[in-house]
Amino acid sequence: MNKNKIWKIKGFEGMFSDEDLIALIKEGQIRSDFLLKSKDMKKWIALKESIYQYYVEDERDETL
Amino acid sequence: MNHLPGKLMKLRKHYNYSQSYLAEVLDVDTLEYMNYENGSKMISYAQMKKLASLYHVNVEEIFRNDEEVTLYEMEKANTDEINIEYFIARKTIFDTVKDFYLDHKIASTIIMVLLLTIVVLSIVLKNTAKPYTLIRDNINRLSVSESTVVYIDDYSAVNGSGSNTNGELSNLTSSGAIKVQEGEGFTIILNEDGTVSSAGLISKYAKELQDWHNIVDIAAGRAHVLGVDSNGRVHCTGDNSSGACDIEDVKGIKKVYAPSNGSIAMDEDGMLYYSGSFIGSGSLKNYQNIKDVASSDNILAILCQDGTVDVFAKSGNNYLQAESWKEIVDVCCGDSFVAGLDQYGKVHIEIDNDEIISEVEMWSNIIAIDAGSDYLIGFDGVRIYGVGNNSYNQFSKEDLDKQRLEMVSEVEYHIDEEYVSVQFKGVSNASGYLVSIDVGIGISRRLEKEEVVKFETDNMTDGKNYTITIVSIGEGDYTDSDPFKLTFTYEKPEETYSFAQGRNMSEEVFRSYLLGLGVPEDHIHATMGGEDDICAGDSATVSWSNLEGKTFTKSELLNMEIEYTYCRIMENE
Repeated sequence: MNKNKIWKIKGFEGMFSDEDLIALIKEGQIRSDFLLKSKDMKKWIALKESIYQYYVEDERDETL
Repeated sequence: MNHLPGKLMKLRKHYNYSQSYLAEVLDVDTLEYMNYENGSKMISYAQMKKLASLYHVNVEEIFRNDEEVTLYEMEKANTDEINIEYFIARKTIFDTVKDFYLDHKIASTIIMVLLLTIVVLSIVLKNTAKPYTLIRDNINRLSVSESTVVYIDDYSAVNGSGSNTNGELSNLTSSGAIKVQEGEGFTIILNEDGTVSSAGLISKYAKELQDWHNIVDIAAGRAHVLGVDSNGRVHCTGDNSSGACDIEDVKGIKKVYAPSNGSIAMDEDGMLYYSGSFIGSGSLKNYQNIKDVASSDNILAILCQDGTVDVFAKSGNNYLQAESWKEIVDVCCGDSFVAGLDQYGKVHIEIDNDEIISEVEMWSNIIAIDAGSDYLIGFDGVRIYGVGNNSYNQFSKEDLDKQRLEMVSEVEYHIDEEYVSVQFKGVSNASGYLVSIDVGIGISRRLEKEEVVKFETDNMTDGKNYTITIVSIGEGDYTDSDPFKLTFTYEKPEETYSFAQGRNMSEEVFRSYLLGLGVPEDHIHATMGGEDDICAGDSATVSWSNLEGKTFTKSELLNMEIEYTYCRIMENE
């Protein structure tokens, strides 16, 4: 049984693994204001307020 | 800006760990870890969890991109080079007890003798303690049938959702509900006064249920109801076509369970008796002193006293194993799954469906679980969470997508002679607040905004503990907050006495009043007024006292010197 699907993204159906989430961020499908929550978290956190914003900035740097 | 590097360094240095040690913990080489700290690489979620566990913080603290992080003062190693063994070799409770014993031999011996005495007394009392008493337990606050979900809220009121075809959700009145049970098409409620209420299809047996008194536990099967009274006698009513009620002869029973068309009774020694028809009944002969039992058409799950769960399933469901579960406090099962609630409020589920597993793992702070044949329900004391078939709208599917409101803060209470007044700071986006206090069956007030709410103290007992519960009510994108709870001991305020200005009371009456309150006579200093202070009537009236316009407690009054002047009665010419 796949227990790696730990992320929920507000507005998206289903659950996502860490790899899925990072891929979605890098693909630009998830923007900075999207809300994320893992099974260990009590509250939703906006991507821009999380350390995973790193992947957004990383992408931006590469395109510049 | 990425705050993770600074946060990682701050935590590592606080705990005096080396980079090589952190690399070992995260199972990467030191260079890789150094990249995390210099910001050129990002850690994975799994690594975040390891760090959160190592530093005893919530994973959110690491995931959130701010500079704040909790630093706990705790055992630190003396050197920069720390081995993993350091953590394994930490003192166990046994070592701590042993050290204490060696340091305080005499005191420890006395404590051990006292403990031994308590154990012996407990055994003696256990064997003599009767009758049984009614027990409040959170897991009894939720019950689920094929089409309904019923729960007891914080105010001891019974609420339900789903199909009401048979009136099972109608008029769920109760004088303080302790336990609720759903059968197929009916609801039964155990009240704190030992009576049993019912709704729905069981109504034809309602009269019989009304005759049940001093009931301490109930259980509902598909079409029968079990009760046990404080003398350990089992009562059963409803459909007995499968022999479910053929258990009424057993004695000394303290708990009952009703799997499908069967009945299980457990006596004070943990011996099990059963009747009727249900899967896995043959397995029960190997058990004693169980904590709970759950069943469906295909599965029987037994929760043992040690918090582990044994599952007996029809072939085809053999993948259902709950061997790794520990510290389980509640168990339930559907036709193709079994679920367990641990004492930390997390729900474990065995099912051949990854989506459902992931969904259930998101639940937290759950206090009770139950299941229909194809859906699972979790209850956190306020909200109902559900996964699976929701054909009867037994639960809201949207809740997990909503933001939970913050709890109120800065809650203060004030007790005077008449009221307990509660004041708090509200939260943004709340559509209102529900404030309650557990007096009797519970009293609650719904407030539209943050304001002082008063509860009368008439039903409160001096020295007893009461809990104020406040929930921020959400709407739209927000769900209700977790309940804020404040427990206090009610100390009845001393009665106070107010003395209005300009008293119009005869001197004789005033003195009698003071003496009646218990003021010692030598504390009363009365002076007759002067030439100008003449009474118009024929009795001396109090014209001044040092009590005027003030309020005193009785003890203050009894300990003070009371002075007053009264007017001089004009002598008859």
